[in-house]
Amino acid sequence: MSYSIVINVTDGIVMASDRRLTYQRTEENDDGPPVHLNNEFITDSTRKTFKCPNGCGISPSGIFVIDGMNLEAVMEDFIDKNIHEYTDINAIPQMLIDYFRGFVERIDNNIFVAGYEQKDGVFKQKLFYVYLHNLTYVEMDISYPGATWDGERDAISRLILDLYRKDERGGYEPIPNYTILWRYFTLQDAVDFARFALKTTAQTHRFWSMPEYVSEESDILILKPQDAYWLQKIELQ
Amino acid sequence: MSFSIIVHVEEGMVLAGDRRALLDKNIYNTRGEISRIERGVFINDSIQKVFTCPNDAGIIIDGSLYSGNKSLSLSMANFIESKIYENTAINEMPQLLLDYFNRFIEPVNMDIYIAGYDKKAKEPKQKIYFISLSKLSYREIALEGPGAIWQGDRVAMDRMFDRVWSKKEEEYIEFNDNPVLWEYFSLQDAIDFSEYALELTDRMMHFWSLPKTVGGGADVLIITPKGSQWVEEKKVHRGS
Repeated sequence: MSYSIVINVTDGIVMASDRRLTYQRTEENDDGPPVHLNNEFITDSTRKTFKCPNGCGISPSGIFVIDGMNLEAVMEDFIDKNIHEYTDINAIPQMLIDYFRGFVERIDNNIFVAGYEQKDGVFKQKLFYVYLHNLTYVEMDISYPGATWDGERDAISRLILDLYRKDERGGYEPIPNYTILWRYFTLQDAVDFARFALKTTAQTHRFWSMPEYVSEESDILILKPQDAYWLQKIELQ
Repeated sequence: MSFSIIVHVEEGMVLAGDRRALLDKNIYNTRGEISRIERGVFINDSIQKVFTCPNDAGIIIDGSLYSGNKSLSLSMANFIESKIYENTAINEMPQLLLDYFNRFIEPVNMDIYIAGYDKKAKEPKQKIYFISLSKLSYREIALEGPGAIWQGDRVAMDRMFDRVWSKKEEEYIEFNDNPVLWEYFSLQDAIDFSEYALELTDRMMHFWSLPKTVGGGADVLIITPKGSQWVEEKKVHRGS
């Protein structure tokens, strides 16, 4: 699994993801129920956010192996072969679908495509969500500043969404929720929130009784109307 | 407000708290009446809220940290110095606290947690007491195995670790429940959890549109049957 987040604020878009890949398998057990072996192999060096030549960012999360290949290499191949300096962001979701139609497996993975559309000299923020399990996509409404996250969503969803707890009579009562004023966020605030979201997700998994699917190590890509650059990118050492 | 936490595991107990006090100022009209309250006009990030006692019990204070202009943190330090001795039993402390703060003229709206070991029992036994100074009452918190208690600005931690539901149209859907396996926690895990809880609350208060009532770093105290020890303690330092 993975965690990736896209935060769009007035002066840019932050795209960030963790770097963990875990291999797990289920082993038959003659003496009882099958045993699911979590974390049989862990690597914290899988890149899950990609910068495209047209200034867009792509970030998949979910299953990271397709037809026996690591998805990192597959995504790099997709970008090399399909995205050029002048590729329109609106065309990328369908390109991804066409590309992944060539694989035998339909993996449970969702891909964020974020960046800017330029029309008549006006730049507009865009975010698409491509579903690889059924090869479809949707465009997300990001006309207002905000954040969208995927993968191991629970920790951050618990902090941000409207939630309820059961009261003594079996009904549901709302838990206090405090607004996040995304519209006042600077790009630095967005970066700080992305880092917080990744770190909190990784650290919370350590204390919840579940496998640790998310690493604290992360890649952070900044998308501006005419510029895209890495703020944080772990290189080979 | 504040945030503080007690994590009690088999090896020992961890008490941790932030150091922030957010102070308000009353604005008066020409008739001498309060016309407005300015919230958070002064932030004090050096208020001690976790205390160690000569009998190796720990005390956490929470809630209103001033009574009139009097710092209740200083009052707590004075209480410990004058009333708690090496051989004071932990179960005597709640009443000692009530007697001490009951003599204050101004109202005291402070909550207090006492944690430590009943050393007079056959085997040292973990004990936690909650004292409400506004209600002048106390109770012992029943400990059914290892766990954690947090108080103050608790919303972030409640959201993360309670059973919660979201609402989709008219249907309530429960979030995955991954209970913390306290019984397997070492003392180091308990320290890590306390620091995580403080940082989570501090950071989330930073992003939420709320007065920043938690901050200023943390004090972390551990208590085991052998004694108490600061893991992290903010000291006074030269100003910059």
